[in-house]
Amino acid sequence: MDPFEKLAEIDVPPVPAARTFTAGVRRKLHPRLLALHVLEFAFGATAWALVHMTAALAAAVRFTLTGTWPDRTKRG
Amino acid sequence: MPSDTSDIASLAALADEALAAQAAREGSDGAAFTTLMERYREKVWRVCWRLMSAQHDAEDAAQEVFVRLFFERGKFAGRSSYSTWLHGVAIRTCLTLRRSRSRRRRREEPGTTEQIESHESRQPETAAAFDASHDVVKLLAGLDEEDRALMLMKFAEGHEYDALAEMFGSTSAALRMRVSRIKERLAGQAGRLFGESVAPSTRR
Repeated sequence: MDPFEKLAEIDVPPVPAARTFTAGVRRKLHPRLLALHVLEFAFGATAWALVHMTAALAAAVRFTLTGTWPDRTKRG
Repeated sequence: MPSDTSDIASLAALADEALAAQAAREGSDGAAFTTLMERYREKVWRVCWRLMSAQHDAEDAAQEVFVRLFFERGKFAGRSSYSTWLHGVAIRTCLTLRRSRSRRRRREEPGTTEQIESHESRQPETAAAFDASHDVVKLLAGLDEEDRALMLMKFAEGHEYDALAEMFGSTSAALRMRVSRIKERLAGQAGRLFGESVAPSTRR
């Protein structure tokens, strides 16, 4: 007999109780999900803010440098 | 939320692949994910216990496997059976945990790991007191993590090479060769450490 097959004879202890095991999984999972969602929100919010604020910032910089404010009424 | 019992009963009748697809559309408390967890709890536990070798570490690893499974639940591509894919996730998780623990131990207490490893694979004078399975476990402790996992999945859990190839991201021919080389290497060590108790039939 292959001595390595002896490994199959080593007993595995019984699986932990379903309730405590599942609770343990959720205890590990939920903080990570929360962190992931916060991170996603932070990146999403930063991108949104950048897109929406860039035009205003550019106009403010232009006003500082030239003293004129973009006149939107001339468009179309 | 874990839905009502009739919902869970109908999910229990689904095949793994259908259940996985449904779990991919649900949140963490979804009934499909809960059913999958219940279905595979014991199999994952077996893998983790074999690889981690300690009750507490194995329980921690098994929970970690399901956390990882949750985040990777949409990645199952159906190239192998769901069970094989999940075994692969379990093996990778255990290997990662073992490596990070061993790194941490080395950082915190330099020299401890080497002491433990040499202690695990030494003891020729007391070897006769152990049965053959214990001898083999001691031999495996001297292998690198992935080789040890491969030997345990092949011989302790009895997986075929095709399934192992999926789990370890290799081919069955390469794994067959690898197992044969590991056995040869261990046979040499077994001769030195345990006299003739393990060596003869591995020297082929």
